Amino acid sequence: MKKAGSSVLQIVMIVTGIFAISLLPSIINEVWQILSGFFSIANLVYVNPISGVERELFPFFWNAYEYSLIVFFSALFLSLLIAIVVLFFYFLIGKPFQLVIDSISFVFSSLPDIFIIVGSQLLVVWMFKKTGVFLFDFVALGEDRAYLLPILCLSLLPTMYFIKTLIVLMNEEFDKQYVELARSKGLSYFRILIIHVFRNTIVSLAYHGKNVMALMLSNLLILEYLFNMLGVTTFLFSYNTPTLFAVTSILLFIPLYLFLKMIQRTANSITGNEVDL
Amino acid sequence: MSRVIRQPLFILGFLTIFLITLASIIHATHFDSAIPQTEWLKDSEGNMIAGAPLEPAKDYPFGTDKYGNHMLEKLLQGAKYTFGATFLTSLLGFSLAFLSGTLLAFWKKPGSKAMVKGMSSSFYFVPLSIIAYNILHPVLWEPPEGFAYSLTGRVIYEIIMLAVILTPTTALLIADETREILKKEFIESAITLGASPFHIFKNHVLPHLQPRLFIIFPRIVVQVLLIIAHLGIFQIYFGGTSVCYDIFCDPPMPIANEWSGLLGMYIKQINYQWWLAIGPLACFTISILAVNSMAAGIEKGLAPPKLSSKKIRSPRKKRSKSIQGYTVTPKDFKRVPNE
Repeated sequence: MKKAGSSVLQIVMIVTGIFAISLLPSIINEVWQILSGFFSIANLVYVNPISGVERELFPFFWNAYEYSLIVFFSALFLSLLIAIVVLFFYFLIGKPFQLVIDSISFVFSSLPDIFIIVGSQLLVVWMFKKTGVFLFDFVALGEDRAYLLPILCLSLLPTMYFIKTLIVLMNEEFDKQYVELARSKGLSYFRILIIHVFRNTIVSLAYHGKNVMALMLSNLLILEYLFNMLGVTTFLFSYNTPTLFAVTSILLFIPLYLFLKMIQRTANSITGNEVDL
Repeated sequence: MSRVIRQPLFILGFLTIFLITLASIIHATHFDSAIPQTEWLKDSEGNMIAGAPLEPAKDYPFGTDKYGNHMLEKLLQGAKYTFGATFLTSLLGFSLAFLSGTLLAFWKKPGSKAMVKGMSSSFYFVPLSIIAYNILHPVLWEPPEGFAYSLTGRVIYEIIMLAVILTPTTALLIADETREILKKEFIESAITLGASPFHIFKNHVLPHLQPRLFIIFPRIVVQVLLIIAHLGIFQIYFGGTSVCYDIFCDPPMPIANEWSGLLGMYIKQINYQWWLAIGPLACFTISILAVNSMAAGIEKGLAPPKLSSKKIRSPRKKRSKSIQGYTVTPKDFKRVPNE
């Protein structure tokens, strides 16, 4: 029995090896193409899928890049800010408010991003029809850029995520012994909440940074598509060559990584805890 | 386990999914998946007052499309395909992630482990839907000469590829959980007693990992639903997008009335015929909410019951406690005879 098993395993290994060998030439080919694209990065071109016109990527790319990053980081900071403000009230006002926030954050954090984006667009149109007031530009047309509504849409899900995780983390933190100690020393509730508990939870929040980034990136993609924004993600799939994909993703990755690293460093220096990405 | 099943959130989520699936299957078996049509409305004198597409009304809660087909029945017809595809994909992705995750956790060489971990982390920085789009587009988007593969082939390809894309991040999660368990003391003693890695895995890790897996699986289901919905918006419908290359043509069509296909087809008309896209969007939203509430129910049911409800005291309560002064008097001390 054992012998049969081992020979089956051997066959499987050999077949996998043959697969790998037969895939190898095309993989090497692709890798070489992408790498050689990097060597000639300045005169990289993209092809417009509709008109088929070739254009130079670079001066044009930074425009879209700037737009995406502005939207991304404003949404990130906005959601952190809102989450922190909500949390202060959460811990200061009593039970009923907590229940409301709990259920709101649960429901909203499970909504799909498409629902939020389409819903907000419909809401703006509906408000316009009812009252004649046009609240936000919600579709980017050519040179005009829409900022406010995309940022609001993009920040909604991370806000809910922050609130949800911070509530759990802070509740855990409140059960720890140093809170008891601080209380027995007679420190005020505000002081404990703001200085001790809050600082320590922000550090544990750094652990979740990667998840938040992943969530927001996938939201950004669908957001730019549905709002017709000329952002980075346009290059990820409309003008589709492997080199372009690699260049765009790496350029998108660098600021996010630097940001995460910065948070990690700050967290380390505040508490001395190692925070791994 | 019985505590999980008794959670109201779990029951709510499960019932929602179950009833939608049941309705879809009954619609297929007893009504032959028929989709009623209402092409125009007439008032009491027999004059035509409206033509399809019709806004939602009592007889057709989700409205009708431009041929007068009722959206509710279309959505019902599509539910079983969407759910089936999602379930198969997440099951496959979960098994792959489970295998590779536990292998990664048991892996001893630090160098290659860091490499694997780092490379899987790159999946956090590129949206999964775009990877899926780039992989699936060549196969699922119909070229002028027709599809290269049969419908079954395309469905299998899509399921496998989506599962593979989902694997790295989930595997990292499972690996982290497993590593936490491997750090515990009883593992050390088991190794000292000469247990093989497989024995440790089967008898010590698995029982502790199991509850975590019940929480991870619903998350994958939600992720798959989201990716399928995203792909629908990018006009990559499940099982293939049939594109017509003639001069007078319909926009790209899905093969079946599957939700992502309906969503992708109607999302562009959201500002004129809003009800067409709202139907599938609502269906996706409801099912994601249902799966999430099932997950929350599982999480609550598996958490160890709290012995004392030690909640955060509000400042007012705290103050009332600290006001009661306490002074020490000689009576509080008892003399202990010296031995």
